[in-house]
Amino acid sequence: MTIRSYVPLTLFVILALGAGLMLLPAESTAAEHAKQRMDQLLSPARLSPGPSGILLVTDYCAQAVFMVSRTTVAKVIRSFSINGRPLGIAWARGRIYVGNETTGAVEVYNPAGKRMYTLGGAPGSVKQPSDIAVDASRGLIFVVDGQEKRIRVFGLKGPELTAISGIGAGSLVNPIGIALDQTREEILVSDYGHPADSSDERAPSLVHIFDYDGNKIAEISGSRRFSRPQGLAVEEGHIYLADGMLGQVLVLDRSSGATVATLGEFGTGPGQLQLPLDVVIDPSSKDVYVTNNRAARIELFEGGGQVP
Amino acid sequence: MKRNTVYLILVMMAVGLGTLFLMPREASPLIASHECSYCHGVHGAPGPALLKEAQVETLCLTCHGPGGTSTLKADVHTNAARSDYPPFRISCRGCHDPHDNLPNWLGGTNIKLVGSEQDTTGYARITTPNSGIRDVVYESRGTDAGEPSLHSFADNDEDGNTVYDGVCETCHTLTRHHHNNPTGDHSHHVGETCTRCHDHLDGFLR
Ligand code: HEC
Ligand code: HEC
Ligand code: HEC
Ligand code: HEC
Ligand code: HEC
Repeated sequence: MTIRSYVPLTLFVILALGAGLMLLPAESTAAEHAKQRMDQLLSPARLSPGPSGILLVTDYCAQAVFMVSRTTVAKVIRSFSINGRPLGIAWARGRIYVGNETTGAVEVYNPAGKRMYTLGGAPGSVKQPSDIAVDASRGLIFVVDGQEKRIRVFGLKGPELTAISGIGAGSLVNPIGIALDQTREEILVSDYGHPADSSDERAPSLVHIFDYDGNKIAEISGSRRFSRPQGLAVEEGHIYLADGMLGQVLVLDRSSGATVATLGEFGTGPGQLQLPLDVVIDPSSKDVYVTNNRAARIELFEGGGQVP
Repeated sequence: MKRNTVYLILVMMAVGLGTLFLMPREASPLIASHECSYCHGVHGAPGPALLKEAQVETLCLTCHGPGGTSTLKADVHTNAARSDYPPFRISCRGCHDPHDNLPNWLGGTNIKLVGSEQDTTGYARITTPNSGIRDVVYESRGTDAGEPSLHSFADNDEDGNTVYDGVCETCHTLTRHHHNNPTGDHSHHVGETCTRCHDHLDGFLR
């Protein structure tokens, strides 16, 4: 979102104003300002695979869910508004699961954007639904509650599965993102640690690995420390972790924890990353998609999920 | 070549010494909710000087943006989707001092880190896009349920000093409401908490 990127927009606005001035109401309301942004990403946060050929994106400032084309990531196919600030998002069996930070709930929508029901009962039950992951075959939804600092587990239809709820309580410091390794039945959770610098001894930034029963299996901190770890994805023995401050996606070896590669670099230029917040990998093409928050774009790293 | 090296060493020593003097001065008055290590020494953030605007913005937003750990959220101040104004984009440092709340020219102290040191006066000021460096006053008046109000956002020159120095006035020369001079409309919700409608997270737009 450099000033320069506003020049074409402004030119367009001036032209549009010139042509349509007489048709516009004299004063636009604040609400209209918001609505006009619905065809354009403003502050993309979390990503999820959607129906075929589509990626789902939550937009924190536009207060909307966008559906963008996997082949042309700049193309918004459809969007629908959320009443609040959406963060986590997931897709399973024709339903879209959206973490609404304002209402403190995971809301379930159909693809047309109609709200169906809420997970776990009353709004306010998931304080900060920062990220969501789903194992559709086992019918499980995993939700990061950033404020209660634990992972909540729900069934697809809504009930909280108390037997395995509350994963990570006590060991998670500031949990942010979540991904699943469905073959190994593992839950990976990124954690800022203490908000001070990432090497802080009180609690460094980490990726925690739990099994589906909530037992902690491992902790990964990379060969260099993470800075501000955000959303993550798993692909064939590698963890792809978006780091908001570094402006990179770190590719980590699942077993050794070493950083084996990186995607992208910090910057405000085309293709550079400023505050990347989530990663999705297409399992067949190995294309990697990243939300580039400040640039208000989805970046595509073709074949980036193929580690040499 | 050799002269350059000596020069470089001298400069580095000077910078080192300078930092020693700066550190204690900066260390005492920091607001309670921030620790030095929240911003300095963060892996991936630039060196001690943190000079680049884009990196400072990213740093602030790792906590105050989407998915950030702070409950207080913010975004930059920039044109609305359909804006009548030339492009502008004001980042965090444009309005905030990362280190402390500064005294303002009226003798009070600003809150929420608004305004920063622009010159040797030591007063909270802002470099405005169209009116040069100007004073900014943003204080809590203890009204409006403890939220800052009245003079704090837009004073409509209530103190009669002919200066429009509220934080939502001091830059504006073209907006429909609340200019930094007597022209235009100054009555729009004057005395209210502007951010109730113009949310910081929406860049103050609505
Ligand atoms: C909220 C983020 C933040 C925190 C917290 C912070 N700083 Fe800074 N600091 C900055 C930024 C940004 C700069 C770059 C200069 C600027 O923009 O003013 C800076 C610059 C400095 C400088 C260089 C001189 C100067 O003033 O420009 C020193 C010395 C310094 N900080 C010391 C400290 C100390 C000591 C603490 C803790 C008491 C601290 N800082 C806490 C953000 C922070
Ligand atoms: C490591 C996380 C972190 C970073 C980085 C950070 N902040 Fe903060 N900030 C906080 C927390 C925590 C609070 C207290 C509120 C809360 O508990 O959420 C806070 C409070 C504030 C406040 C309110 C202060 C008050 O007096 O009420 C302002 C203004 C602010 N931050 C601005 C900034 C700016 C500007 C930057 C970048 C230069 C920045 N912050 C970087 C975590 C951070
Ligand atoms: C145009 C000026 C301006 C810019 C640019 C700006 N701020 Fe602010 N900020 C303010 C004002 C004014 C307040 C006080 C708002 C209030 O009290 O409701 C504030 C308050 C805050 C607070 C505390 C919010 C609260 O409710 O207490 C935080 C945190 C903050 N700003 C962070 C940032 C960050 C991060 C950026 C950059 C992304 C930024 N600000 C850019 C003017 C600005
Ligand atoms: C650092 C300078 C600065 C500060 C501080 C500032 N603004 Fe602005 N704002 C601008 C500029 C520049 C414009 C473009 C119009 C102009 O120049 O008057 C603008 C325009 C606006 C607009 C219209 C945007 C559009 O594109 O339609 C709104 C609304 C607005 N400001 C609200 C606020 C509020 C509310 C505050 C106080 C919280 C505030 N501003 C503080 C610089 C600032
Ligand atoms: C009750 C909600 C509300 C409050 C409170 C409010 N505003 Fe507004 N503001 C609006 C709406 C709606 C608009 C757009 C319609 C208009 O221009 O009047 C607007 C427009 C503006 C604009 C002009 C945008 C342009 O295009 O020129 C500025 C500047 C502005 N407000 C500043 C402020 C300031 C400063 C305060 C606090 C003193 C404030 N507002 C309080 C709702 C509000």
